[in-house]
Amino acid sequence: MKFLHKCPLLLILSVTAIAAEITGAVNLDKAYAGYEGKTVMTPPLGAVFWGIKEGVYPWSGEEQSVMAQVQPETQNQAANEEQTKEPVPDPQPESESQSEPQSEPQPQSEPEETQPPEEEKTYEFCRVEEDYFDDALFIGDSRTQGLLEYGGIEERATFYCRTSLTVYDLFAKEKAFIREEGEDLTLTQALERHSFGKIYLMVGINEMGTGTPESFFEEYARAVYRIRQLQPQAIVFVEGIMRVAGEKNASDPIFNNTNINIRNVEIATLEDKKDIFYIDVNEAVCDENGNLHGDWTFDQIHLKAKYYQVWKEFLLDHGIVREG
Amino acid sequence: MAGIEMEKLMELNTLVFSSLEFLFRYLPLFLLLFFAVPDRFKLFVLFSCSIVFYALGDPQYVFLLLGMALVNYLFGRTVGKGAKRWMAAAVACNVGLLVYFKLSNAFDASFLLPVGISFYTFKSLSYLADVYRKKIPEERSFLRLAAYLCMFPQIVSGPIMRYEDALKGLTCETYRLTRVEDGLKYLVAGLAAKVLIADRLGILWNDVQTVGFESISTPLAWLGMAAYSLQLYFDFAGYSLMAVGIGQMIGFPVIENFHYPYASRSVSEFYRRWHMTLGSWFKDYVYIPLGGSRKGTKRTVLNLLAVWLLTGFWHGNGIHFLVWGLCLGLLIVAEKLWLGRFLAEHRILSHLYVLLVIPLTWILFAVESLPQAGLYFTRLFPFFGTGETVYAGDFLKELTIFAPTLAAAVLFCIPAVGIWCEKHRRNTVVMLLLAAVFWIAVYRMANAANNPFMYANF
Repeated sequence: MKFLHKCPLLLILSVTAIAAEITGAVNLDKAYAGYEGKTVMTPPLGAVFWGIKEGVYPWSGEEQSVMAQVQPETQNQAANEEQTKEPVPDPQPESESQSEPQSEPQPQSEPEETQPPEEEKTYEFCRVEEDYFDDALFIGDSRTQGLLEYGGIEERATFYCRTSLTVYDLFAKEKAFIREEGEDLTLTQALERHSFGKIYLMVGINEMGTGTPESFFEEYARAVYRIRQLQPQAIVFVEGIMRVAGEKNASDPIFNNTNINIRNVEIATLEDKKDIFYIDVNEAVCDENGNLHGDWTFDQIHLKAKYYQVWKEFLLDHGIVREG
Repeated sequence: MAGIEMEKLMELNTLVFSSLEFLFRYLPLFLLLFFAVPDRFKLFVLFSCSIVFYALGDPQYVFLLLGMALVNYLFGRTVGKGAKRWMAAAVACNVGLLVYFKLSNAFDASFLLPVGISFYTFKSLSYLADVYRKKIPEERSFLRLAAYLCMFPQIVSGPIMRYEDALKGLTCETYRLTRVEDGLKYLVAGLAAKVLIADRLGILWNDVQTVGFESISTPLAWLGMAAYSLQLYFDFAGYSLMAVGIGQMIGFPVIENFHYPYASRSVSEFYRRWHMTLGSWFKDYVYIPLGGSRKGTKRTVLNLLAVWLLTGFWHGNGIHFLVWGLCLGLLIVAEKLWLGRFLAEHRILSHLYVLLVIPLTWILFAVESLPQAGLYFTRLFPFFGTGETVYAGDFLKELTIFAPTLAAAVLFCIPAVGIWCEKHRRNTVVMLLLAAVFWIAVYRMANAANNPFMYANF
């Protein structure tokens, strides 16, 4: 009692800390399986607070949490697998390297598919003017957000973007990331409400810490498929993920250009030159080593404001005009 | 600043107070051990744990630290006898080592400084000078001096506790539970300042840099400057509070390192209230030995400028740090000569002057090179043409996100608020608030540590 009277804060913090430690330790292999403590000295209570952020609680059960984070692969493994893989020119999701029993990971409850006839004409890139963006939609993470703020096309185009947006968020029911006239909409709702002529998509860097290139691409292909279904008239531009600058590339085991390139090669396979086109802004913003120009960025990841013009010009050089 | 020396500590976190590892592993382990052993072993526990933590964080230089502790112990034994030559040798040895490492780092940024070298060198010099001047007796116990120089709560970034103050703790006489409790409160307050305010405002400043100075709107330039000024204060003052709190828990006196500097009414006053232990160190061991203000106006001006140029050199590499020091030196000279009288007479104007001038000087501190600072000033004062691509909404965007943090930061810059909290620290509501704040900070830390980018997602 004397202790409580003299050291109430010490007592409260000790008791709560021990409780949190036990909660974390007991559930570390269960509900918190997705948490990656950095060292042996990292206290398990970190997992509890990580869980609160991720919506994972001790009673959440095992399944959900294991889904939440798949161990990222090392780049070499991923690179080797990549080389043995054939590009798949079909816009449908592919699943050859996945061991899931259902080999067709198509979204359920979809109407039967309408594949364009084989002999349909293909298109090449051409220079377009800014009014090209009048019916364009840009979907992406903070980099696309930067294009919105500094690209100078915010009056023309529509932007559905949010910092740290991932491909997994695009069609997740609970992710209403589009703010419209005081309402929060999911991508499905927004695409049902509006019609676009062109849809640009750049996501993929935030996902690099989780999953494998295969699981990423599977989800990516699924998302593109879904966009196509909701907006069949739109030209879809799948954008290669913008690379990071040299310093980060050299030092980061996950967020480096090797891993970005692996994903970009996969994304490029979605191109059919009819409805889906692959464009890679890295052609315009990278140096001779293939890294994002070091002096074009402060944080090694985002373009400085004035270089968004380069991205915009690149987009204008890569327009697709389908007459008729 | 500590920034350069902190870089390599990130992995093990033995000395990073605002890490889960430190708060829930190293510190509790140390405290349990410290309080479990009999008094006569406490000092040894403090010393050996400090060395172990240091070795885990910076194994490369732990022997340098031990070596310097031994060398300075021996110097202390000789300068105590009033040997001027030995004092000169001791100064040359300590200063030479610090300058060597500083210059190596200046020419090759990949050459990292030994953790805390500035702080243990400053502590050594103050100890030796005080012994030489017979202000304190020489320390006969190596363990005691080494524990003072190496003690982990202060090794990374101070405060630069004087030996005479440290003695109260080093004698290991008085441990009271209420001291542990009060120390813990400082620790929690400092943690909150660092994690909930400084780290958060760091994101705003990071955003400003990500956009690029040439492209920020003028309102954002001002907001960014304010955010950086507050971030710097809460980061360093928060760290100092944590260090002081840990020190208090184990019997050391409370060393005040920041005293609401933004409430000052002149630049001179600001620096008497900002990183106070460094300011008083420069005053006692550089400015006054140079003659201080006793040798005429001209000499005073020169002494002040010399001290501030040194301060600039000590804080970092690059011309902009020297310019920063020089600017402050000139302002302080101006205040000493005539500006001070004017400020003393105009209460509101003097506050506005500090709140304008100090953040402007921080820009020199914040940037990576002098031209960058020039660029930033053209955005603050856009009379000479505008930037290149400016998104007018950038200010509102950032303000919407950071308004609550900025408001909290401004609130805690007001002396009355902090003093009230300190006075009512035993109040149940205040205590429960501290507990809540602690866990919110832990929540932030847990999720920042699990996130490979300390600052943000893309």
